[in-house]
Amino acid sequence: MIRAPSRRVAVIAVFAVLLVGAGVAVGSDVTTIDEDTALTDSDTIDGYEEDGVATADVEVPDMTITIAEQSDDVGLDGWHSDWDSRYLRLQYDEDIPRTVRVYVPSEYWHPVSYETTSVNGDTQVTMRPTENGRYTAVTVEFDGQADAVIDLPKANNFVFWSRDGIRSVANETVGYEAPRLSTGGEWEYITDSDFAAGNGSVPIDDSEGSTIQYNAADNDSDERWVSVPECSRGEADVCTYTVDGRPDTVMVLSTTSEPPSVRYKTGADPVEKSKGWFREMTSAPEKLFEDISGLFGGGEEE
Amino acid sequence: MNVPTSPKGVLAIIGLLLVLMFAVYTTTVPAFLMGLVATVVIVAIVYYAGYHIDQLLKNGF
Repeated sequence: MIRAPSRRVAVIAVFAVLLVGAGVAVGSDVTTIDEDTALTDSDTIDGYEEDGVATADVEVPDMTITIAEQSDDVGLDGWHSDWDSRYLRLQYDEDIPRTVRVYVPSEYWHPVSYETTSVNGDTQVTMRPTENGRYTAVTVEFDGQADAVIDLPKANNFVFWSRDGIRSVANETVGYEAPRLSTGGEWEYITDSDFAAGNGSVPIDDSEGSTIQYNAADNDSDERWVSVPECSRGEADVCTYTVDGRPDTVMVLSTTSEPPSVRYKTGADPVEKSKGWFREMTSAPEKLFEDISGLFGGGEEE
Repeated sequence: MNVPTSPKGVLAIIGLLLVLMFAVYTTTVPAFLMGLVATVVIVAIVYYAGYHIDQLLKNGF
């Protein structure tokens, strides 16, 4: 007997259609709104240059983004030193915990690398330059409904603007391009479905180098991103290998049916790579302790 | 088995165990090299701490 589609299936189908229609890409952990906001509209930018305030409403997820020069315009009470600050307000109106990424055009501020916590709470915010300095990628972790205001010091802007300006002058004058410690850019996440679609292997563009990490934390709520090892170096849940005839491609292989979270960014990022190696090194004592505890019957409770 | 009791012998054992730990539990060469550097630093700290504690015990506080 053939059963009619259940209501749950219908709800899932409608939700999938809405997601496609809204143009919102959902990675394994990050909801990427990116440049799909009114912040990129010329009218909004002109309004910001004139009034010092820009607002964009996002439908999916339900949130409002405000950029302002004055603390009053982002709902901050009390005295604030506005002369050195630029404010970003993110009003997230859903109860679902979610990590959201949105791109802020360089017309509002020069792209910066910055990690901070909201001034009116404990919302974690990470900013990175992206799209060759066209935007600042702002990634925010929401535990639920929240109204987060971020204070971005103008001094930060000045440092990055100066550094990039000097690099540009040096490149144009003497043709020398100073190396970057960090390529900025955004992390892309490899999902379980990506592995399944590629029969366990996912290709990564390595023409400009790449930084590939996996989450080695024991539980989903923690994060410890370490470098993915080469497959030739032994057994690991995920590893990398190369294929003859494809020198600009690195393959990421999953050796289990439940691989850990994997992220990558194109371009060699020495800072992130070093952090990954350091985390891996510092995790060695913990692994040793776990193995010793296991020998004496102190394994994890199931 | 003769267990080393001299300071240098003990330090060598400590260093060897640390190197072994990093060799077993790191999967990338750079992480292992970082572990070697950490081993040198830890052994040096233990050596100098032991030296100064020894001096304090000999000469009094």
